[in-house]
Amino acid sequence: MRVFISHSVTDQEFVEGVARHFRDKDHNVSVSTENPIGGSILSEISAGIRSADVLVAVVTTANPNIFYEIGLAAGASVPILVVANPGERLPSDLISVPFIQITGDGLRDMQAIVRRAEDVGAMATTRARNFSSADATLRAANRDPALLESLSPIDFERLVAELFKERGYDVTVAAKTRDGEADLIFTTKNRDTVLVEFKKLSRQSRVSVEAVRALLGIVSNFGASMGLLVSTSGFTASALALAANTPVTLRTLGEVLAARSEDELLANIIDDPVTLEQFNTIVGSVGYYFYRETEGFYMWKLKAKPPGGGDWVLPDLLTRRKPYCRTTHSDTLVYSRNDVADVLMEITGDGPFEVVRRIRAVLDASLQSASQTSSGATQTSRPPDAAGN
Amino acid sequence: VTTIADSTAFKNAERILPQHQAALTLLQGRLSTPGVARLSWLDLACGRGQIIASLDKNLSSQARSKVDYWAFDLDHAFARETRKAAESLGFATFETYVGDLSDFDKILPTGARFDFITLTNTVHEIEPIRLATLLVKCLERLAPTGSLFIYDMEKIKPLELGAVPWSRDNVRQILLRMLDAIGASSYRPEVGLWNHSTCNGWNVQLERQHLNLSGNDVSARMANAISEMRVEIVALLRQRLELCRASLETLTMYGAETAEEQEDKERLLFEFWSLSRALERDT
Repeated sequence: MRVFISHSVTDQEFVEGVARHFRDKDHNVSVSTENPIGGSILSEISAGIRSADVLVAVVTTANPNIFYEIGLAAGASVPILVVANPGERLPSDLISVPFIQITGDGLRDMQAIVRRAEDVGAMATTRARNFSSADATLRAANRDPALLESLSPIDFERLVAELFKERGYDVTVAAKTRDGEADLIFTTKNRDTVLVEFKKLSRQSRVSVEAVRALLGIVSNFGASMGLLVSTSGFTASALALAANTPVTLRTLGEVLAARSEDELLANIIDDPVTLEQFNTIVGSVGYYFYRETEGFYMWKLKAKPPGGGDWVLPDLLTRRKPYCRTTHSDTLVYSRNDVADVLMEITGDGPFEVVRRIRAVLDASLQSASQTSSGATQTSRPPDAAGN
Repeated sequence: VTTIADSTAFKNAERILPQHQAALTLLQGRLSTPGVARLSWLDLACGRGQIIASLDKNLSSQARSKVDYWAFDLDHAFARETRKAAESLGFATFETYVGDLSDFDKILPTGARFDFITLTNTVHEIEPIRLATLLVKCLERLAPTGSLFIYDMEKIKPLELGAVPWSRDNVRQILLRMLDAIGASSYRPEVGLWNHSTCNGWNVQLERQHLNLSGNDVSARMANAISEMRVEIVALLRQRLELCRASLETLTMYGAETAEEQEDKERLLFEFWSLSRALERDT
């Protein structure tokens, strides 16, 4: 745990004792009045506080610097432990902050401060820099939109590059090689080159057909084997359709995280957008059915048959406000595979790859029955060949 | 060819492209080189005189007096405007020519060679199949130490019917093919990508001396370079058209899901027309 101790010079001796107790327990301690070597004191202090897991503020005197440092910690969501003398009147803003009173028994106080700081630090909300790996950070970011938003596109690229390295993949940051307009170059075990492009968008956005088209062009111009387009949100139906059966694979962040091997990561398992009928077959396999409440184009619901029978119910969690579109040439409703996968993950609690396999199975089956029908038709209409078959 | 640069963007400080400044910076460097008493500059597709618009601030009157300025545009009105701007700048000499860009070589006096040729913000206006000839003719028109500076946008906004903008990658492929065919395969000029608040573009400088070829060599290999480049250009156009068609196909089936995709759809429609037209003219 990283501990930052904020105090005034009058408490120097006491604070040195506290710091020693933290270090004895293998914590990393910075102290506010230690002079930094060069640079601005404020920026050193600010960086120290922002990277700390807990701020211990010894407010035995009303030193404005300490209150400033408490403010910095509060702004950076770093948990705070206030250490004060008995009878010390704290500013009203601080009265609900975790607090420990000095008794005057030095050893006992120091041990108590370490113990309380450990508790307070452990309650810290998860923040990006606290994660031990890129995998953990990205998983948290995939769950928590606020955390994802707080990552800059460059942070995001760097994290995914780190994630790939953690998984033992051979990746190069393209900016350094300047050979391609991709963000990363991924070399597979078979020595194939995959150009990786990231799209960090807000949750509500969708990566459009243009991004797929651009990457297809780049992949072909650079003679790369494949392109991998990673989106923090989903893809539009047109983007999915364009990528189907091409060397460009589309992956959401969730899918990237769930991929257990290079093959799973790169295989182009993107199918054409799912039709309403296929959608019902997919959710029907787990006891749900599509239900459209109104004629509205942007509202759809699923209804469920409770286990053991009974009437259809409309569980709240399966009411979505998601766009779907009609194909222009028919009245077929289509959904983006990402939306269908989202729903299925929510219903079943399965990971994206299990869900994708489930969707895939249904789509394959409908494809097969379609081809059987058409090949059957061909056979009946085919004239007998020379051999008379 | 549609009319070139009919906008007044160069009068709006926020929209002035940094690449105009880059052309001027290169010019500054050349004119400051000791021993340079005269410099001939061909401003191909000068438009309304975008590059010389702020020349009074970029070059001293002494430097300007060393310049023989040749301006070329296909629009009479633009050429007149450029002429007017040039009159007050104190060039050693200046000439304006009007004609189709791909015919510039036929229109300019035979034998005229240039120390500096600028081809700015224009490549998208050039019929793709004539691009090869234009670029090779530019090389041929360079003085032994002359240089050619080109930049253009990767995407045109607002959209223009018939315009074919090129990406940095494609430009690099086309130029490398040209250099290989002309016998200068050891010269690999950098093609840069730049971002501006209003657009993205690419730029490149080609130095005549790095070709390491005599004038006769260039003339002898020109026809081959042009035909090889055309093969490359047509292949790129076909590939782009195929991707464009496939994208429009999916948009026809599934529609545009976001406002951004709606914009893409419009750009793709324009691109489809430009590319089909360009390929049609090739056959």
